[in-house]
Amino acid sequence: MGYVAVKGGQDAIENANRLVDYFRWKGKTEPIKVDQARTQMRLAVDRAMGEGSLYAPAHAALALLQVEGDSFEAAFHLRAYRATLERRYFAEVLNTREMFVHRRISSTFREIPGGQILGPTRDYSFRLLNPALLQASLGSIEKFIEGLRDAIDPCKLHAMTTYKKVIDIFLNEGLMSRQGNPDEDRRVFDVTREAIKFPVPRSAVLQMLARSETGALMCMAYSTMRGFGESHGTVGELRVGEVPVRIVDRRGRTRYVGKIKVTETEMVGGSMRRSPDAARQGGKRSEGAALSIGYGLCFGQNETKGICMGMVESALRSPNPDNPANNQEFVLYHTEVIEAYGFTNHLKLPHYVTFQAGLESARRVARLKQERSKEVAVGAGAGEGGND
Amino acid sequence: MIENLRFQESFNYAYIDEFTKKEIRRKTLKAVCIPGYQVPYASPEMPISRGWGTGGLHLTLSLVGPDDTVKVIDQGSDASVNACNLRLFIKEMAKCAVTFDTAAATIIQSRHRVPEEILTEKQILVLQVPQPEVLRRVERHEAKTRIMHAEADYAKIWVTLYEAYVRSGTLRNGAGHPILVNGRYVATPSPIPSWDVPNLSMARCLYLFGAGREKRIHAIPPFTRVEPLEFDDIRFKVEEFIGVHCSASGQDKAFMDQIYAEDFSRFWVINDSNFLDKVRQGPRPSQRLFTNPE
Amino acid sequence: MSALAMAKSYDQIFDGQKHYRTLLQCTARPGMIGQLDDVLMEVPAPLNRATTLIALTLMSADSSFHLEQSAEQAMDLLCRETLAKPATAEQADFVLIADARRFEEIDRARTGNLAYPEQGATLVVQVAALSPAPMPDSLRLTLAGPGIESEAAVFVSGAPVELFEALQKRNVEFPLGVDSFFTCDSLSAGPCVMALPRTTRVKWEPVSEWS
Repeated sequence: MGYVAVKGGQDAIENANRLVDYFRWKGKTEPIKVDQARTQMRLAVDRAMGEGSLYAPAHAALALLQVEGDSFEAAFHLRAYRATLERRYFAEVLNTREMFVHRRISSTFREIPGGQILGPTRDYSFRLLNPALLQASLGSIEKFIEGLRDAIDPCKLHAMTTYKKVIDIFLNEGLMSRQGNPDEDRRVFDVTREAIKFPVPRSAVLQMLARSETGALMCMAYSTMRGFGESHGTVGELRVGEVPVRIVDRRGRTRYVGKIKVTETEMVGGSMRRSPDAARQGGKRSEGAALSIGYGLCFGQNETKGICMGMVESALRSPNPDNPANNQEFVLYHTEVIEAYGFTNHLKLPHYVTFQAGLESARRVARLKQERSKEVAVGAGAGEGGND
Repeated sequence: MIENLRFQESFNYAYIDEFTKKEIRRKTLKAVCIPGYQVPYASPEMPISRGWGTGGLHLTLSLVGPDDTVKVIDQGSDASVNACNLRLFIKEMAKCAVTFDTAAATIIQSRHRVPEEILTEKQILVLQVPQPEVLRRVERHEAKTRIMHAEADYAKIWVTLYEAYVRSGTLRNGAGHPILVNGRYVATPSPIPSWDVPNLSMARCLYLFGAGREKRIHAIPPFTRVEPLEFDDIRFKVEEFIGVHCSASGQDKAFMDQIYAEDFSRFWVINDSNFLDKVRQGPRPSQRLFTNPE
Repeated sequence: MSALAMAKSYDQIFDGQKHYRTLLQCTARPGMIGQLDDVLMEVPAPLNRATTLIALTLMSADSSFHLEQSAEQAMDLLCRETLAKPATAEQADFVLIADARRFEEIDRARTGNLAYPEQGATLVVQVAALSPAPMPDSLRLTLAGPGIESEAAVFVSGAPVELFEALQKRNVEFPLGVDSFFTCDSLSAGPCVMALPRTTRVKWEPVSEWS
């Protein structure tokens, strides 16, 4: 049975998959090793882990190789893989004050306690293609590392974990309150286990932003400072480094399970306007705090995301229907990478049944218009006749 | 070096883990208890794209057992590439039988069509839903549409229906005509043609609707009153295929696809591929046909 | 020794799937009596096997349930095997009523709110027997509503009229309400279940003798 070649669909899929492989291998170059991708495509791996919501550098590297570098697909593969994993433990809250810092900067002060540390960044490199890279070899890499090793003073390494935070300055001066908004929903929500409901608690907002598509989030953040919002936050502190992860085992003992690299951003802005509820209760302006923090934390080194997350997080806490970035539903639904990517691409699926239904009404409208214009023409003709 | 072992997978039966299945099952039961109401659920990522049937797949995989026979159709066709893909995935993951025969299936997952052949009490039709919120086109905010449903405030959708009538001379405004389920909730039947909408009412089978990307499940139990929204004087009508016959079977009275030939001449073919097979071989399976009001 | 440890024949994947389908069919067709497979298991009082199987099918670490305090062994079993958390009748997702003659919890069970009516609780009520045919000293329930073509009849014994009055009161403000499973367990029929979702309109009359 089957007037349509049902087998055709399956064959087409198999052939499409083979063609993908063909276009990947037809150049007949040496296959890239997962380890090479993991170490030399570091930032792509970090971004995929963030959007894929799974800290697993080797898996992320494999995903990137498998999908030929498509960042959406890489994130998607990680998410799908993540969904199959059993969740055995929940991590304790990360303490970023323990971070082994690779890089930390603040733009709120010229000097900060512990100093500005530029660390690994391309911020001040000229964006010129570097042909020297074509000559790189294991030998040249080793020589480079040797040279760098001599410059490191091992005695100073421990200091990398004891930096004070820039927000301590504000806290000590009373410019910032340790107490959040008393009306705030402080539940720890898990967006992977429960569909969000509006208004969304802050924990869920932060989770969703941390998983969001970097470019989409940047678009939102950019809009808040270009005119569709009233914020131009200042980077209180941006840190990149490694933080320890601990869990509590079944016997209640805290266990260190490893460390992850994260980007943490604290964007400093004016204090939140009082919520209408707080105003009604005659609430004091957050106990007089003048400044507030827009917080960002994401996997790996992804400073664009960290900063944008801080800005958007702060924008979302003062709702304003005029600005897309101040609207929870707009931001959270539309920066969600897997959903946006899937749905925009689903337009490639056949829609002939639905399209035909639309086409039918379009034809009907066209026919109606035609009939009406005929009626008008006839009516006008009759009028002329009457005048004669 | 990464050891290969790290990447080796063993998936649970029907792919989804039992914890997640239980959540989907609890939410599905609630959806059946409150016909037409959209129940939020966690909707984990699947290895297929959002918008490509993840919600349908969640439902099907939470339902399926080794004794089931599953049919997957897209736009009425078993042959559609995405239908083939989903069918293969379900078959591999659930070790169940698959079929093209509408009558032989215990679970049918479909996108944009209800089969022509009457479904029985032993069957469940799972419809893939892109936008479960029927009010989304009149109110963009979820927080507000929730309140509108809570208050059964459907004024805005009636207005758009009237506007569609003024514009096009018909209530029918593309696929997915809004329905009133059990006299309480206005819901979307998913983007099925109007032709299929009357078959949702007082049916023998259970209808489940899964919207994975939007994380919602809704349901129409068997023998539940489903009314397409219409006015007393402007009635709901299904597509009319006047003077149209299927060029493959010579038959009429089924939802038809229009096919264009090389020279742009148009002919018609019955859309439901299995129904077409059956009418060509005879006897014609039983159908519920709706007669448009005058 | 855990009661379930002996029940080797219960398979959480495949029995869970089969039982879910039965529960779904029953919910979609109120009044239908569904048979849950006769799984080899001993369950501590006051639970019957059907109630236990429903719990195993639907409850998990993110659900909560209520059962009378005195049923310590039964509580232990449910917590251990489903990882669900005990809660008060006002908060629980599942309210288990071990004896249909003591049904006060119905008045306390959650009915959800208008924006999220699915947050109404699921009740599991244990009765002496369920039957499509008349039984002595039973109630004849006449059912109508979604899932029922015109009218359905089912006979329940071991449940007082007041229980159905309480249920009706709880479900008066649709879409708010509670959804119920009625369970029984007998040697002849095995574990059985019947569903009364909040949409079902119930009329009852006592059957005192064989008709």
